[in-house]
Amino acid sequence: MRASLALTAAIYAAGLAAWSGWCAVADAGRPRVLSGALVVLECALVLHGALGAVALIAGSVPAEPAVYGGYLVASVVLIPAVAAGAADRGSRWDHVILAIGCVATAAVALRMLAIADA
Amino acid sequence: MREPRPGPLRALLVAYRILAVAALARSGAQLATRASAAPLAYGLSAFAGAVYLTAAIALAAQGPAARRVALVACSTELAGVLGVGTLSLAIPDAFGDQSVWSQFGAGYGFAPLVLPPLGLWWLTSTLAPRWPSSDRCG
Repeated sequence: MRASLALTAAIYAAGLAAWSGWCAVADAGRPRVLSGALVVLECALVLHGALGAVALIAGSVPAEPAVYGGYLVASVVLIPAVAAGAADRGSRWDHVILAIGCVATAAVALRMLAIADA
Repeated sequence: MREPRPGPLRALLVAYRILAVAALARSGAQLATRASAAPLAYGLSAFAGAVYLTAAIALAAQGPAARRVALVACSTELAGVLGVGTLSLAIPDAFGDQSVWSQFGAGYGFAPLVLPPLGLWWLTSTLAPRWPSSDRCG
């Protein structure tokens, strides 16, 4: 379940990055649905992080537990950290910042998948 | 009250901070758990992370000294990613494992290759004019 959740989160984050990128190109204000979609992504990442932490505590150790733990923490804090810097504005560059955060989140989710499978 | 940072700089800072944390955290974990496996690669990654952090701090700060530090940091990054990237392709076993700069930063979505030119572009494009414009001289 963790693997499919990580893959779903990676694809979803990539989609949100594309959407944010489009908003930046169009220089439109931030749609409320995009903010909602970011919250959904964060919920999925928190759930995945909780499942991963439980698995680590239970002894289901991936190839690099320290790196995996780091990625788990990074996946949970990335979106709030990035969104905080672009929260109250809806400018072109705020959407660029959101897109960067979503791309990084997708990369982290894919890295976790790779480590878990190794 | 402090002037808000321009949008391109904010985006650049976010990218630099993410890359700095990623490089420092990963190399820190690698050095802590298996430093003897590839000390050069992990050491290079830690150095790269430190340079990214320096660049992020210097770009965020204001003043000529901070600008000089940012210029040196961005130039070091560019030289590092080009040098290590070329070496890692020419002699694949030279480093023992992948570093941040190996294969021109392919492991980090080529962000290490893209960010330094953007940082240098920002630094040069925001330079204050050194001389008065010609219409004021005549």
